Order: sequence, then C-alpha cells, then structure tokens
Amino acid sequence: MTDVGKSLGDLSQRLSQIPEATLVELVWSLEGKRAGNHTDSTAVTLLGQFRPRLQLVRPVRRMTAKRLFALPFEDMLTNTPPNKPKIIGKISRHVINPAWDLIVDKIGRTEVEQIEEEIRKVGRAHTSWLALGERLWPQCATALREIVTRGEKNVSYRAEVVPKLGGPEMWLDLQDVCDVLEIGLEIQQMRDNLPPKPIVALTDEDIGVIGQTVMAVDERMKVRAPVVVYALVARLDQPTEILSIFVRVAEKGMAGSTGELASITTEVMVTDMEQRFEEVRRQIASGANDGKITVREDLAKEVGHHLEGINKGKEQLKGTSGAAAARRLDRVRMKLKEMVSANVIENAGKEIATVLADLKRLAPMATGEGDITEMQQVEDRLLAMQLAAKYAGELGISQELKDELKRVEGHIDGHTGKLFFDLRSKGLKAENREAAEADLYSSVRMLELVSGAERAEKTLVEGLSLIDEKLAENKG
Amino acid sequence: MDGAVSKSFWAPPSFAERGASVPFTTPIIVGARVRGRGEDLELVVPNPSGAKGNYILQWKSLPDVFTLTVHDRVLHRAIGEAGASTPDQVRRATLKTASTGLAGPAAAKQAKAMLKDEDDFKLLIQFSLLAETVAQLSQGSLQITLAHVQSETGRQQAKLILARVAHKVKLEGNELYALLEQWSDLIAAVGVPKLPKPPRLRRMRTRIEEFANSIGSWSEIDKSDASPLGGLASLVARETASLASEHFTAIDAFMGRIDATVLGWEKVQAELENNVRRISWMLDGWDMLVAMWEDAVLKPAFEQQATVQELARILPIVPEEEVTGVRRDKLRDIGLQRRKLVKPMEDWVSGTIDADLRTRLERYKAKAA
Repeated sequence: MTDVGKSLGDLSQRLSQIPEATLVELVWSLEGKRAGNHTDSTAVTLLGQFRPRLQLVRPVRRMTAKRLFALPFEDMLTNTPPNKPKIIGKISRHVINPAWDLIVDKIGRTEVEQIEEEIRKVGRAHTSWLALGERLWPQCATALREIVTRGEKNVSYRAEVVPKLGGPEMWLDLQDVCDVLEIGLEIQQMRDNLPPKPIVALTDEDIGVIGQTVMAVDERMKVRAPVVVYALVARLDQPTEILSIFVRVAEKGMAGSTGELASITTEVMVTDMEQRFEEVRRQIASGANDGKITVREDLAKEVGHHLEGINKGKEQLKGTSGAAAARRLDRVRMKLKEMVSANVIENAGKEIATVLADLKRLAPMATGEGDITEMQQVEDRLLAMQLAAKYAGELGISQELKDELKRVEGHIDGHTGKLFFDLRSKGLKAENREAAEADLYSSVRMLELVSGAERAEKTLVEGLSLIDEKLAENKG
Repeated sequence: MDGAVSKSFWAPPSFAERGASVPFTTPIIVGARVRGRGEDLELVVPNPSGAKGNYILQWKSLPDVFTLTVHDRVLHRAIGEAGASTPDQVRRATLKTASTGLAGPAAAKQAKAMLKDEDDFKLLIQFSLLAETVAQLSQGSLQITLAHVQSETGRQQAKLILARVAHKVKLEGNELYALLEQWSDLIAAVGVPKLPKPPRLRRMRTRIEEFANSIGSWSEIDKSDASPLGGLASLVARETASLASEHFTAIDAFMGRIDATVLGWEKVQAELENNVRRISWMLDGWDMLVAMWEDAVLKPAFEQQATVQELARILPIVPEEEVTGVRRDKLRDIGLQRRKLVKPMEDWVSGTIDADLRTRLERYKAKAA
C-alpha cells in the first residue's frame, strides 16, 4: 500500500472513532464553512471522508438550493465516473453540478437566491422540504425538459451541452434527473414517509404509502411510473424485495401500472445488485484497495446476504400472483454466481502459490511486523472462499470451489513439507529460530483457514517440536 | 460439560466469581471467562442458548469439549501453564499468543504495539511523577525533564535533584526515587491525568463512555428487536464507566498531595493496588464489546442489529459486591431485563468453527486496546 493510501486508511479509522454528537456538530460547521467558500478544500476533503458515516448517522445537513434540487433523487446517486456506461435506475453524482449550472442559467440567479433566502429562514430541525421543493422542482424539470427536448432534436445543441456535463453518458443521466423532477413532489412525499435507507422491512402503512405514490404518479404522469421503481429499489436493503412489495401493493388494490413494469423491475434489480458490487469489482480488478483489506470477504458476505433476500422473496411470492416475478429472481442469482466465481474462486491456487514462494519475506508480516497489508489480502481471499462455501451448493459452484480449495491446500502442504524437510536435513541455528517459527505460524494459519483447526494444529505441534529438537541438536 | 450455575452471569456476586475475560476466537465460547478454583482453573461460558446460567468447565477439559481454533488451543495452553486467572495475567498470555499471528496479522500487530506501549507508558508515568514530586516539594523552584528518565546518566541526575527535596518527606534521594518507581509501576495501566496519550485503562474508560453515547443514540433510531438491548448496553456501559471513574479519581488524588502520599506510602500503596485492581476487573472484557460496536458502526443495519444481540449477551455486569443501594438495584434490574431480551445465539452455537464469526472475533481482537 502507498503511504498516501495508508494515511487515508488511518485517517478514515480515526474519523470513524469521532463520537456521534461531535460528528453532527462538525458536519454542520464544515458545511457552513463550505457554504461560505466553496473552494475550501479542507472542508470538502473532510466531508468526503465523513461520507460513509454520514450515511449511518444522518446528521441534519445544511440545506442549499442545489441540495434541494437533488433531494428527490438522492437515494439513486452513485459515484460512477462520467465516462462509464449509464446504469439504469441510477444517477451519477457527477451530473449534479453541471445540471444545476444549466438550471440556474434557465431559471435565473435571482430565483435561486430567493430560494436560498427561504431556506435560511427555515430552522436546523426542519424535517420536510416539500413546500420549497414544490416551488423549485417543477421549475428545474421544465428547464431540463427544454434542454433535453432541444438536444434530442438538435444535434449541434446537444454537442454543445454534452461536454459541459462530462460526456455522453451524463446526457442520459440528465434525462433521468429530469424524469425524477417531473414527479419530484410525489417521490419526495414517498421518501419522507418511508423509513430511512436502507429499508429492511416495510409495514402495512409503508406499503400504503408506496401504493398511494404509484396511484398518484399514474394519474399525473403515467409515463414516469418506472421512476417509482428506481427510487424504491435504491432505498431498499435488498433490491429483490421490490417484487414482494409490488405484490403487497396489488393486494391493497393499488397496483396501478406496476404490473406493466415487469421487465424494468427485473432490469433494475439486476443492475442495482451489480452496482452494489461494482466498487468491490473495481478494487479487485485494479488491485487498488485504498487500505481496505476485506474486499473479497465483503463481496462473499454481501452475496450471501442477497441470496438470503432472494430466498425470502421467493418464499413471500409463493402461491401469489407474483410467481412469475419469483422466476425473475433466478436471473439475479445467476449474476451472483458469476460474481463469486470470478472474484472469489478463480486463480486462488495460483495466488497462494505465489505468496508461499515469497513467504520468507511475508512471514514477519503475518506476525505483525511492518506493513501487514499483503498478508491481510491473502487472508481476505481464503476467508472469502470459506464464506462462499456456505452457499456454494445453492449457486451450483460446490465442485469448482472444492477443487480450488484442494489446490490451495496442496500448495500449503507442499510448503510446510519443504520447511520440515529443510529443518531435518539442514538443522536449525538459534539465531534462525524466530524466522523458522514465523514461517511455521504463517503456514499453519493459512492451513487452518483452508483445512480447519485439527489439521493445522497437527502441523503446528509437529513443526514446533521439530524446531525444539533441531535447536537442541545444534546446542549439543 | 461439568454443570451449570444459576444467576452469576446475569448478576455476578464478585469479580472473582465472574472470572477474567478470555478473548477466544472460537465463536461458541465467545465471552468465556477463566477463574481460579483452589489450585485449578475453571472456564465459565455464557449459556450459548441465551438462557439463564453459565456452563462451568474444568480448564483442562476445554479442548475435549469444543473444537477450538489453533489460536485458542495455544492460548488455552498459555493460560493453563501460567495459572492465569486475573485480567492482567490473562492479558499477558493473550498478547503473547496473538503475537504469533495465529489470530491474523492485524491482531499480531496490535499485540506487539500494546507490549511496546506498556514500556513507553511506564517511562512517561515515571517522568510525570518525578516532575510533579520535584515541583511540589521544591515549591516550583526545581524542575525535572523527560531526559532525566531516558538514560542512566539522566536518572542519576534526577536522583541528585530528588535528593535536594527528599528530606521534606523524610527520605533519601535514592529511596524517594525507588518509591516513585514503585508508584509508576503500580499505576502503569491507569496512568496519571493529562498524559499526551492515556494508558490503556484510562483510554478504555473513555471508549466505554463513547460506546455508551453511540449505542445509546443508535437504539433511539433503530426500530428492530435489538433496539432495547442497545439501550441496555448503553446503560451498563455508562454505569461501569462511572464506577471506574470513582477509582480513577481516588488514584489521581494521590498525585495532588505528594508529601502526604509519600509519608503514608505503606497504606497508600495498598489503596493504589486496590483501586487499580478494581478498575482492571471493572473494565475487563469491555475492549471486545467496544471493538464489536466500533466495527459495526459503518456496517448495514442488519449487521448492527446482529452485533447488538451478540454483545448484549456477553455484557459484563458489575458484580453486586461493588455497588450498594439504588445502584445495586439498578444493576440487578438491568441483568434481569437483559435475560428477558437476549435471543438465543443460534449462529454461534454450531459445533464447527464458523469462518465469518471467527474472523469477526479476530478483528475485534485487533481493535482491542
């Protein structure tokens, strides 16, 4: 890991330890600082570092006209770079600033300043922004629709706008922003009345809220019904839950157009799932983990969690009109299978063989000396395989996983066999004891993660007594 | 299993009965404690079903009853060989075992750092005591610097400076120096106020207070079954930190009147020992709980709820003999409430070692301070 990466890791850890009450105050004050001077890089950087905790603590944020504009599609935001393909049901965070600039040009700075003034009048404890949103969102939607329509008709105009947005993919995101804002009031009303993200369970009352939103959107602008799906899926802990939600909505007699949205719903579920894994896949592919050492383990866990969701969803859909929807869940399951095969199982044996060949250098790291990141990454891989073993049968990858584990085990056995052979044939000097023990402990640790404690302890006991024996011989 | 005792887990009568926490990495014995029984050791394991009572095992029979991780087998042997049954003794065996890397590289790194920290703290505390003693006894006219404790020459100079004021407490310079060394050794884990980085037990108290705040506010937001347990954990943490604070205050007070402390050293020594021992017992086991919560804070809601269920099950309730009156009633009430709310930990009870749970325990170990 680079020094910068390590520093960032350390900083994140320290920030995560700031007590909640202090964090809330700190965020409020940093946002005040940022509002006064938007280029205040300290405030911007620190707020960026706080982002993961902000999702959990959810302190009251300083509202601004721009933040109010983005409020209805807040849950749908991702960190996808502007040059990456458009993701259905998601909006890249990168589109906010350019879209806002376009809107300000259209609706005028005076109107924006007046809204900012209204926002300032509202207190810190204010919870709903519907009233001010009702004033801002239709204006934004009209402005953006005008741009989008003109851009669709006029290629040269579009060519002028696209670079401002950051690329052609952002043009598609701009359209989504416009779509959401056209029913911004309905979406925000729904958001206000549902539990915070991530929603784990919905009450009957919550289902009623969703049903009312579906009906209201159908009545006012039926063509925007898919936006309700996007907004809902983005707010759920388990994207697959959307299917049973729609069944429950239908049971309340408020299905509206949801029945017509089957293919969109499937697509959104799958892409949402993929999106949730995108960061992990990026880290694995690039080898850049930003100090995070549980990338594969997290992926394996997340897959397990989503599989539980799929099973739960199927159970809920049994014998209902959602039987067809239940079949769609299998497509999600296939995606999960591909993800585990590619990122957890494939090449594990090769990687471990490389590590074992370099164990002389790495062993001290296993016992906590120096930078331990490389050893933690090895463990991450082995642990992910163990976690995947829990549901490998369900995904149909049992044999694939077993074979790879066998290969890993073979490499470790080969390594300890050589260590013992060398000890027996070459003996051991007292000054080399620490290195021999570090090597043994690292091998035993890896063996335990693959083959279990019984086998690993046998190797440990054998190795330690061999070390003692050879040291005694050397003394004698 | 040798049998079960009632009540002591939910409302332990004394620290010795509660036992010292052993940070095992085998999920089924998480929260287990070791205690002395005559010449032998016993293991007290919270009932994995979440029901009333603990399982009591002879220490030596542990590997025959449960499938343990390699780390735990080595730790089991280390504790057995040392006859360790107090938090400090168990801690030494734990750090030695963790530094092999058998609980993962992060736990090994942390163990090594903690061992090194102890030496650094002794030096810092010794310096603080020396500086304060000279300042108080010379009424500010003499000074000791950090250099005076960092080398043999420095220490000789410090003794000479001490010699100029030692007569005020009826001692020779060397005697006073030795007494201050004893004093700093005694409070090494607790330290003195205003150190640039507090030693582990003082730091632990602060972390417990932060834990109380954090999990308390979480329980106000969370709407799941785990929410009341979060509130309960917050309450226990607050009570524990508050009780420990009383002992910290008592220890710190001795530094405010150094002449009286030195003149009455024999009695003071016993009082210091007693206060440090009680803090050590009182905060024992909390490092794991705090680490569990710190680990969960950035996790999704379902993981936080599971963590709260887990930590509530092994929440170290302050023994009854440590508290009186209303406080005793309050803690007894908390113990009873917990018994009603804690769910059986089915995930933790399988006979095999669950990789996910084990990893989590190792991670907590690496975060423990």
